[in-house]
Amino acid sequence: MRSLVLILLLASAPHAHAQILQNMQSAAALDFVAPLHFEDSTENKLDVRSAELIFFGPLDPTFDATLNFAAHNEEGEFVAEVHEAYVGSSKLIPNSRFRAGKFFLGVGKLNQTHRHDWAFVSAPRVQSDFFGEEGVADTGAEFSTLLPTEAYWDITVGVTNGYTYGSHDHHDEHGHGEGEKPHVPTHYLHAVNFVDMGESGALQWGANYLGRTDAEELKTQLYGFDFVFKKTEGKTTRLLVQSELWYRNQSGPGLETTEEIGAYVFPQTALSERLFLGLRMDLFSELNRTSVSDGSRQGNLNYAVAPTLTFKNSEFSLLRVAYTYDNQTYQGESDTINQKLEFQWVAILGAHPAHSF
Amino acid sequence: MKYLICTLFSLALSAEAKIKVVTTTPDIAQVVRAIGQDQVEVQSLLNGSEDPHFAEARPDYILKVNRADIVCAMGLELEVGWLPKVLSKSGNSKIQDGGAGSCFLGKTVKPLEIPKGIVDRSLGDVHAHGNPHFNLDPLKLAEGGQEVVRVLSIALPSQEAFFQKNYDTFKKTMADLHAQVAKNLPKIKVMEYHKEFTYFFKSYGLESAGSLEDKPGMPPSAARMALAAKMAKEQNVKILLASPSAPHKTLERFQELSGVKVVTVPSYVQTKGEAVSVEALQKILGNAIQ
Repeated sequence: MRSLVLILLLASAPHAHAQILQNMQSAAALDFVAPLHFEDSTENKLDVRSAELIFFGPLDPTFDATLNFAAHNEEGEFVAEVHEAYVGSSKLIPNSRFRAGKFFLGVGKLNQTHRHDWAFVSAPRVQSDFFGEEGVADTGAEFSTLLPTEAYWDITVGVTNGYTYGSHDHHDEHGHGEGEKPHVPTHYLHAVNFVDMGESGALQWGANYLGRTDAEELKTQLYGFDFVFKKTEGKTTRLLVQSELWYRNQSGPGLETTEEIGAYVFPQTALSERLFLGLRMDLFSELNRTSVSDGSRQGNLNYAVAPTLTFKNSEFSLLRVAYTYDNQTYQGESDTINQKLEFQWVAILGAHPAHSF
Repeated sequence: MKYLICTLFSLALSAEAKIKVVTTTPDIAQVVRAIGQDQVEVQSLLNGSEDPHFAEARPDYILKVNRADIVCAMGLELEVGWLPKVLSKSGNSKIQDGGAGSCFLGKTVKPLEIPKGIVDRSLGDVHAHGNPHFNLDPLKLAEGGQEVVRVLSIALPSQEAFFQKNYDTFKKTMADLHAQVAKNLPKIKVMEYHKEFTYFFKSYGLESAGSLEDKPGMPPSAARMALAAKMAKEQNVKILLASPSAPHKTLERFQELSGVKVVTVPSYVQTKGEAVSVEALQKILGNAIQ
């Protein structure tokens, strides 16, 4: 709580020195979520899922900086932490940009989008299992460049410390603690291409690789594909289709290799200028899961559907309701079904940074 | 053969010498073409059918900006929701804020409706530096052209006088256009859906009863519609102008309630269709009022 007070004091400082700090912009994002689980009501409560304070702006004629604090309710106390703190530039190296510090890794779509800006309430399983509920933020450096080709090709490479990575526990937003020195730090590549389809819409797609070997020599490799399609008319995105497909391979000394694959696809249509209806479909499977009883390969599939209705009161506040039907199937076992309703309210104060496509 | 090679080489050089200008809207593209003429190669990111408040930071925009010498925007926060991302992801230092190729026409325009007092979002999508839709007033658009002269002259100092001369011609063309449109406009009372026709109304001396939106960017409530319809009847409003991105059902409902004729017209020059130039757009707006 004390840290939150300090942050609020820091946030109020620019007003006192507006003449000096007029280039620093600030924003606050509040993300309220109320889940209603049908099977287990222990977590059914309205909560502030996150309260974020974001400061950004030019440091000098060459560099820009971003500082993002987020507070989450962790066992009854709001713990504020630095989500992102980085300095970067798009002015120093021609056709390129870079940043150094702590940031959400520039892979996939959800991982580099703040959760209050997602088009749905909660993470699909592929995201929560491979990156944590909120995503992987780590300290390191990232470099992006536009290739000198006719088509749009934006290539991002990054290396981060890798002491921590995402969350190992689904209830955790993302990894906490110091972690241990990894054998191979987290490293990644994201190549993004864009296809303009004229009046039919526009498509951005990307191919991803992420690797890391932790202190216990557990080697993790992720391969992914992401795409976003948008058809916009006037001021309204009439059709949005967002999807990610990821494959993870983990191996290490004395460990059996595990392979998992997961995906989600989220089409959303505009019912009006302010009302949007989407349907997220998730799939997840452990490819080499074996049966406990006889060690034979056990077929399994986790699938979920989540119809989502969003009302945007303005660019800066939205209300959302989503119903999730989640079914975990294991060959030879009975299905485990989980259902929940989620209500979300996102409110943004101040100058929110412009969004990527 | 040698002569042919020399000719081709000099042609290639002259083609290379053109200043590559990217504009956010086709309106600005016309201003830049008028001032830069054969010294510039201009392309607009938007085609005029989008709402520039809500455009996206599309990767094809980033690519175009990456290869530009100059980027010209309306400014006054019109493109604030997407242009900063396009500029920063372009990796082009020339066109970033403070760079030699950074050009915001709003800097040389005296804007209307600069809000007074505390500006916050309880007022809706208010622009702290004033109403950014100055492109619908040819005289204001000409004011904005001074910024184009400035950046083109930095890019090609040897042609400064040429750009200034072209600017003077453009300014006169806009003044003539204004006079021509003004001549045929009846002095009737008007309204607008969103405050994007304010400059047009003001420039031609049309008395406006305000906007149907109670607060900029916020669709009117049923209560606001009823109140605005009553007010429009009482004040004998003849016409309401709206851009194609305004909600059609809301406009139809207002027309039913108020009896005021609602006309949907483009609010930007478009790369396709009838409003392909500032002149054509002004005439469309003028005809809509008649």
